[in-house]
Amino acid sequence: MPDERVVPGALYAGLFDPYAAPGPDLAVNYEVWNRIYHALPEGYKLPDLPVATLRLPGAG
Amino acid sequence: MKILLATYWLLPHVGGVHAFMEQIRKAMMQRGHQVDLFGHSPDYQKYHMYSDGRTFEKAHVLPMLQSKLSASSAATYLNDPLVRQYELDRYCLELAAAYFGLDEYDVIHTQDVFSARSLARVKPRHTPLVAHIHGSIAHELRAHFRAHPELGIGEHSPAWRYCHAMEYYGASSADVAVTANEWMKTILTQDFGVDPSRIEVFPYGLDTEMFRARSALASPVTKPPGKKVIACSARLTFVKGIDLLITALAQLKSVRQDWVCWLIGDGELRGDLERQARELGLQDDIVFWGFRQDVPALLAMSDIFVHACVLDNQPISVIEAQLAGAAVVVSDAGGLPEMVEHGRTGLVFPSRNTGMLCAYLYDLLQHDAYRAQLAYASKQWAEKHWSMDAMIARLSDVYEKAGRIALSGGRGTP
Repeated sequence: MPDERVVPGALYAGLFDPYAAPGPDLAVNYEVWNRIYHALPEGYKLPDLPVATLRLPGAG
Repeated sequence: MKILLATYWLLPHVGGVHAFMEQIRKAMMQRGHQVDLFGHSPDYQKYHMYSDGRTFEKAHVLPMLQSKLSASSAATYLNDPLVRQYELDRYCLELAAAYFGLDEYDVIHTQDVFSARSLARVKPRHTPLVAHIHGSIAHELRAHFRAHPELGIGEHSPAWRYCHAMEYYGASSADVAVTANEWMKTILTQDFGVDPSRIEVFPYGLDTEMFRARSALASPVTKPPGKKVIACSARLTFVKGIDLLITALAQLKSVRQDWVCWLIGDGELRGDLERQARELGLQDDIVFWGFRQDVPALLAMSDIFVHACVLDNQPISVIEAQLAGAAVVVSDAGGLPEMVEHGRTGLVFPSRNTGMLCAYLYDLLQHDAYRAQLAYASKQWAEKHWSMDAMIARLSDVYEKAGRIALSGGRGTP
């Protein structure tokens, strides 16, 4: 019987940008991820896109 | 008030950031506030609330982050190994902070651009965020890239541009950013495009009472008879310019030998620097003390203090040397010229100019009255300028200002 606290990572896909595909075999700790999920502010996404684009005022 | 002091860097750590956080914690707790410290664990495997022992294993979230972000077309910049390391660690910090919870804090005060950016992304909107910027990670890393061309990292490389991005977004994500001097503010505004209206400038403070008490403690070290002590306390890393000091000491030894140099601190370059000292015949003239708990007592025995860095902000070591009553010689790199008035509270030499440094050391060894005069003026100035009470008062004002900004909706993260 699987550990009831382990769930598919795809449950938390909303945290990631829409181009991120779920890993097929990925499982995560439900208690940890659920606690994080409910503490994050609305609209929180990964990756941090403004940093990821590396396009900046004054950048060479 | 409940305050969260946060850093991306290690807690505990021998570096100045942790010492600074502990000083703020102590001062704020004396004023009736609650303070938590949050940062990386020394083994890099966890983030932790250092103040109460709560931990968060990065392994809880790293597999998910690696899997999802590797598949993300928006995260191709993570193919760069340096960027990948910093960013995955930063996302772990964000998720760890969410796990611990940020709702209970009245103000969040970060100590670097990584934690500033990260906590701005996960904190409640109404919670004020103050970001102390102690140095330029972009300048330090770029200096490292330039010194190591074999890494192949140039100005068009992702790692180079990433440094720029973190400096800008880190400093711009807080309700108020704080720098210790105008030099650092100028870097943020001119080199990285940060809005100057977001930045407050005030110097660090030092608990002078505590420093005096530690200076008076017994040390197993004694001053060698007939020698004056030239001290330098710093991490033994590239930016501290210890190799330049050793070069200057080799020149000094050729004209006088009435001195010994104490290098107080440890770091990645220790082996190289010890080798350099041996090759220059200075193995009996330079003592590598490594990391010490009795730095104030060692400084109290020192006649001259040197900081030959090629890049630094407002090093605590120089503040301590001034308060200890040593005659201070510093390079003109970074924020150092704002700490020493040449010819009145110390001597300032052009960075990397070992000949000039040697000449100044010679003058200070030769002229006892001049050395004492500079040391006295420096100590008098330092007692007033580096007041902990003044810094905490300024910091409390900044917390209030950030609170007002956050209440009105916050500046938002760019």
